Amino acid sequence: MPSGQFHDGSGGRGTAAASSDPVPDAARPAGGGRGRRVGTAVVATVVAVVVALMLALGVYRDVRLNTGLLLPTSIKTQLLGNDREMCLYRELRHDLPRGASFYDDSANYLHFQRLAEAATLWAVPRLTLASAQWHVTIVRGHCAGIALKAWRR
Amino acid sequence: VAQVSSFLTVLLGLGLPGFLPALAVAGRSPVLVFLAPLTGGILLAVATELELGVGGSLLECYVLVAAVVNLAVIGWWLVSSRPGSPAPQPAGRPATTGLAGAGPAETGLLAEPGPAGRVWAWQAATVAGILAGLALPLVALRSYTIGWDSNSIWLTHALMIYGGHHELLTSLQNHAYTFSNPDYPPLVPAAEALAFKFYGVNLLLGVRAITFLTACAVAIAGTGIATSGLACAGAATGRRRASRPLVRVAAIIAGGAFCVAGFSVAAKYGIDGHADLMWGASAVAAIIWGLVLPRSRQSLLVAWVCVVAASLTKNEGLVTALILLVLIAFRYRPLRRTGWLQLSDWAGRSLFVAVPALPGLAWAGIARLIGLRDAFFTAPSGQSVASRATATIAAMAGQLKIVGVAALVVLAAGSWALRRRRERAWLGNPAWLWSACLASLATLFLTYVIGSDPIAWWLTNSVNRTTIFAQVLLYGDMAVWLVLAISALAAPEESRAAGATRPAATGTATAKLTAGLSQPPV
Repeated sequence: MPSGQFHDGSGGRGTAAASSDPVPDAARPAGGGRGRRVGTAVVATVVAVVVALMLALGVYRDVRLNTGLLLPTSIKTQLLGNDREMCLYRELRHDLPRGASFYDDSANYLHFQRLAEAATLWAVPRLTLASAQWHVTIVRGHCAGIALKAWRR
Repeated sequence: VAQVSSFLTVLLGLGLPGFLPALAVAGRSPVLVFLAPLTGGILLAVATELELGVGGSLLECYVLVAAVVNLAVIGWWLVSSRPGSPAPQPAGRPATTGLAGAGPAETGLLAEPGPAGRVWAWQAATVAGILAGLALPLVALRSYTIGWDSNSIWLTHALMIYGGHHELLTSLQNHAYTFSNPDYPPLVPAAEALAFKFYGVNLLLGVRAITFLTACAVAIAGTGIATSGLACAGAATGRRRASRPLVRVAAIIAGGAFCVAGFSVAAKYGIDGHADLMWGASAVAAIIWGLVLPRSRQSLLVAWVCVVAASLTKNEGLVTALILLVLIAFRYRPLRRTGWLQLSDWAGRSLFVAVPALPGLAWAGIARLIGLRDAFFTAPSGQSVASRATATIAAMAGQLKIVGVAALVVLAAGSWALRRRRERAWLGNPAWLWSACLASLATLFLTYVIGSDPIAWWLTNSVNRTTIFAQVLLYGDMAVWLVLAISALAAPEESRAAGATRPAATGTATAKLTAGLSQPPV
């Protein structure tokens, strides 16, 4: 448990707190005199340097991340991915009537997941063919490399 | 366009309804700038609970919740005191604000001393420093990246929330959406749905709105670190008072640098619509304000707001939030040496936990009531506990080794040389922060061990995100030690002889501090 948890209820002003000084001798400036102060300064410098290096590492990583994300090739890949999602979104709304239930025929569960995401608010994904009105699957096609194939049961 | 629209959603759609409650919580302090949108996000999440549990649309519920909370705040001000000021205390009674165990020095320590102009300048400098820190990671908003989970979980839920009660209920209950973890809390998708309400359905818009909200959570933690400079500067007495501006500036820079580091830990997950940095940063902010900064009503309330935000963002955020609430309750209502079984104390602690936990637990309750469950515990795993545990330890250690080792070195060195200074600044014992960190990691470890997903696949896909909280927290701990180290270098401890002859310090914080130097804070 964290130290200092047990108190006398007087906000640390009671006899127990006042009589048992928790400050270690190493950190006490008086008594040790200049040596203690120099030791404290050295350790404080070490702390400052270590933390500054860690924070600088964070800044460096962030700069590197930004650089990578904003490369023209990265931007192109990102836009292509978003276009695919929007394509599915539009095609589902074009091919299926509102409220239609559908089943994804492809064996790829990730395809089903993407279809279910894109269908939200428009059509109802089903896990079994028996409960669905439509078959839907993702095929290669004209829309950012993919297309939707849908047919009524 | 999506950047501006999403920024306006956070600034106006969340910031305006959340402004008065945030002002009541934080007063006129720098953290208000970032706390207002987060508070608005909480109101929006509560509105989503109403939408799911009772009915109606998101906007109807949001207007209702925001109106009730804002009217309650105005009513409270009318019957108690004016906005942004602490409640008046009876003459002769220290401003302890009813916090058992918190002495007058602690509660007054975060009050900015000095004339109004200088106070304003320091507050503006703090906000500017944090915003400068956020500027670098937010440059990445020029990209168009949308994460996988951002699509399959958060944007999918956002569309459901956008569609109203019936759509939300039936979609979440549809087993075809189990992949989206339907029981996940609503803060992130609700904010995205609000952006859709304002500007139409645009996935990138939702992602960017969440990035801005995440930036607010990171900024609250960063502002807390900057505020620790106020406490450290206040601890410099006598001839060393001249070092105060240097310590304050260092703390602001440390707060800004922490913001960059926080986003760098999350890497692309901080800006592609994932919620991991959002809950992690909220929880870290709660720890900085509730378990590190000197005890005060303001710190406690800010911490509670952040805890609520974490609990409404992700399931692991809810678990961590409950841990934090217990720790905060014990810090603010410490156990007594004698009479520790007193019922009134335990009732107080229970309220400290139960009330802020209510919004998060309410969502969990509604989700269970309507039969929602996540995808992680659907069936028992066929793998042995030992193999899962071994893989989990290796994966978590791989994520935490660099920052963990650095933080341990800093903790050891700081505890040896800077402990007294930390106590004089009334900052919380680092054991609180480390307890929170280890307890959260322990629950994460257990989740992986007893979960149902194949462990190698699960760890590969998530451990770099689930450990974001711990990494950001350790960065926060180190940043506070940095401020202490700089205050030690700028204003070394005076010898006892010098201390005995130094003139009595003036100024609110310092005077209170010097009156209580022998009292160890918790």
